[in-house]
Amino acid sequence: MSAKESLARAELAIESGRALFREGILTECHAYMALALRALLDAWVPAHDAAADGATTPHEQREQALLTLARSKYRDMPRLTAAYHAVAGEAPREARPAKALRERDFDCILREVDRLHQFTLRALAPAEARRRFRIRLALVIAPIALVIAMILMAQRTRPRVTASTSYADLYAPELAVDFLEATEWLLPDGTEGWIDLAFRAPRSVRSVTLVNCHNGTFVDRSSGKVRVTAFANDKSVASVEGEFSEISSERAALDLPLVAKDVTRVRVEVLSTLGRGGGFAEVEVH
Amino acid sequence: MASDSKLLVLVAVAVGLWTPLAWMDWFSSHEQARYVLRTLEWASELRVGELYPRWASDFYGGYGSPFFIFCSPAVYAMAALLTSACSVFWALKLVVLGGMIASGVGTYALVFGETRERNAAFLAGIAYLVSPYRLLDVYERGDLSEFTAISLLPVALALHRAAAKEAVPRRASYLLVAAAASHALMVLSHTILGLWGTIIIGLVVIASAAGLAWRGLWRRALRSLLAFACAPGVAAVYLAPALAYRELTRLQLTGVGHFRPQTQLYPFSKLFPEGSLFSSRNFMEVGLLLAVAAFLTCLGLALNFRAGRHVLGWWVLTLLLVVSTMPIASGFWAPGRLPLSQFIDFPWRLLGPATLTASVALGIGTAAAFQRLGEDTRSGIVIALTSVLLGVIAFPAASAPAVRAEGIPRSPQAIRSGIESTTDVDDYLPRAVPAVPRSPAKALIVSADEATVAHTKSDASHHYLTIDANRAGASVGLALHAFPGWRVSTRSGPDQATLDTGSTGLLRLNFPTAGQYRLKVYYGITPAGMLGSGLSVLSLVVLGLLLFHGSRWWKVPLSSSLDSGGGA
Repeated sequence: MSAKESLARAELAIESGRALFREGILTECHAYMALALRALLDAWVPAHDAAADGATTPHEQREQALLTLARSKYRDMPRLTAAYHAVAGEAPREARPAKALRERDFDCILREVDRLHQFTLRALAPAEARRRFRIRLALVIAPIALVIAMILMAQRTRPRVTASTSYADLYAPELAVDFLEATEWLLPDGTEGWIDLAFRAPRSVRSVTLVNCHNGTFVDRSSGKVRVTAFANDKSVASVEGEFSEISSERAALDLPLVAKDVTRVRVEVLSTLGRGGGFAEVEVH
Repeated sequence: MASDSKLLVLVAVAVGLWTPLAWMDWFSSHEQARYVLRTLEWASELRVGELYPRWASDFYGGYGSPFFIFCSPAVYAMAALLTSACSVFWALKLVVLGGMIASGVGTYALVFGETRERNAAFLAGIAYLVSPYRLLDVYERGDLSEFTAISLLPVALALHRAAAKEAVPRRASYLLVAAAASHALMVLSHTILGLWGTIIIGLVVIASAAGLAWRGLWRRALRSLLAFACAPGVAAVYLAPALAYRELTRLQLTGVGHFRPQTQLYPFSKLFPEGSLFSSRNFMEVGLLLAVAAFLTCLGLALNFRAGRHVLGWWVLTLLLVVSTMPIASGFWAPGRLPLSQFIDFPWRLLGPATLTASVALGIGTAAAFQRLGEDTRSGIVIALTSVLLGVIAFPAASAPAVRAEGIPRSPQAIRSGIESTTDVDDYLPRAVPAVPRSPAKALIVSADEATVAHTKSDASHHYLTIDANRAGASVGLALHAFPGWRVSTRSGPDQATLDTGSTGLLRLNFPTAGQYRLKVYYGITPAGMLGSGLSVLSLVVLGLLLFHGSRWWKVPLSSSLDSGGGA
């Protein structure tokens, strides 16, 4: 019987043992686990022309398998040997009654079956299968790591926001960087002003997107002329101006190129307003 | 999972039942926008470095509230973390989505573990997903904490049962640790349902452990009991201070009047719709689901008693839970009769767990009833039943009136500009405070006696002050509600400043020596919080040991019988 066949037999026996355990049939569960242990050892019996020469009975062949496992750096051989010797001669129908088997021995044998199964799976898996497993593992871990990294990055890079003034606490400057276009930072009536985004660490900037405000269902506010200035340690390093043309209940965004390095702060100034006052739904720095 | 098409369909149904939330900014419910405000508070504390915030600094117009000492933190903690990547509304919606999926998958796993029958597990998962109490816990009551707790209950039960039925010790240990973790998360999601859910899990664990012990597997039985006991231990970081400081708030307001359990008991008829079946929308109307479960259970027992007999235990649990919500159980809820019996406010909360146990019974009954039929026939019956459940029960329940985000405070400043407590009866207002503040605090300093305040800066519950004390014994009153946990750290000054409570229940800084003081006033961990944290760490260590027991890092010595090579 080939190693693969022995492994398949062992896995069938393990699944049978687990199913029997679920049903509370411990004696037969133990017997099938014993069968699994022997089948797993059979997978380690050396090829006929090598060290197994001279081993004629299955028991002798499994003793050879134990030696092969020891050479393969299987950890804690005495436990495996003890577990095997405890179940060496048991067939499913000759299993000892559950009461005769102490729980500690039962668990110990189950642990050895599990350990040897894992070890055999790893050792007998072809290089291609191991490679596939590693790829699959990476495919699972990478998105999780990416999401965690993104959350940490977003937490780290979310700028501190201050503004010259706000219409009311309900329209605080933080609402311009909350990723929610339904919420807005609004200036008081007819007032020009600015909003500052201070970064936690110097960063490069390529462009700035300004999403105009319109004051919810009132649609009576809008920024007009705007100027965006990038600062590196309070020194102006780039500036750009733009203009919104009308108050609109639809989303109105202005993409302004602003290229600068080592930017620590971006200030967006509202130079003129349409309607009752200005503000922004979102300020995005790219 | 990817190969189990029924489980994938179940997940799709769970997502489908959540979809109405995705189309609206927020929704109208009994809880209004309270969860949004609480999450914003947690997130603002998180941003100043408080990993487990206890103080809601913007409630009561900036005077603050020890809200998070008493209110189960799991939902706010999860949502606040997500606010780093999305808006507070979406963060809460994603937590609800997680709860929806956990409910379905947990019930599926629980029933599959009991029956090994995917059709029955699928039907049970759908039954719990469409349970009116569970759905309307979100769409009508808006109680996201309770919803999360009853979503985690089937997960914890499924993992405990799977551990008891697992032969391989390594897998059993993993399952037990996962069961304890999900159980702890349930307690951390909602204290009341956490307590009553713990009793349900306890009964199931005891029954499972008894089964293991009956077969001579005493060690496994003890391990499962140990894992069960560790779950409240893990949650002690929240439970210990919540219990220790109860008396310092107005929590006595609960348990009386409207909140008296005995006034919240309803007759059996209340469990059924009064009007049209298709338009009725009441979270108590779980009767139809119970009736379907009862019918399929009886059918299962009649056709295949041997396979269906396990259902009896689940029905005993269901009946106990349902009966406890009726006037007949009035004596059970009488004050002082049973410990913790007042700790429920509304006994009808137990209809949530009752629909879970009924769904499990429905699954087991279905598996027994249709065991002898072919796979195609069983699938057909289950699809038909699923369609009925979705159409009749879920359809009217899975929706809520939309609320636009504009009407909801969305920043700490906006919360601070009103008198928010996010509770009905101000039960977490410190008892030392004579009344709810009438207006928001205008500044951090309310009074200064022989002291000049040179500078103040506040960042959530962290306040930085520079104060010149003109003479020894000078004091400064702060617009902060006093409560155990407030601390002052003197960064520089001629002496150590101290904190005490003024006559109006506000914090007061005292300066023993004249001079300039630079201070940090902040809400830190309390002695009960430290005790709870210690208990939680200890419980985690025990769970860790449970995980490693028998592994190569912690080997179990061989018994003499095995060591001698002969077995028993």
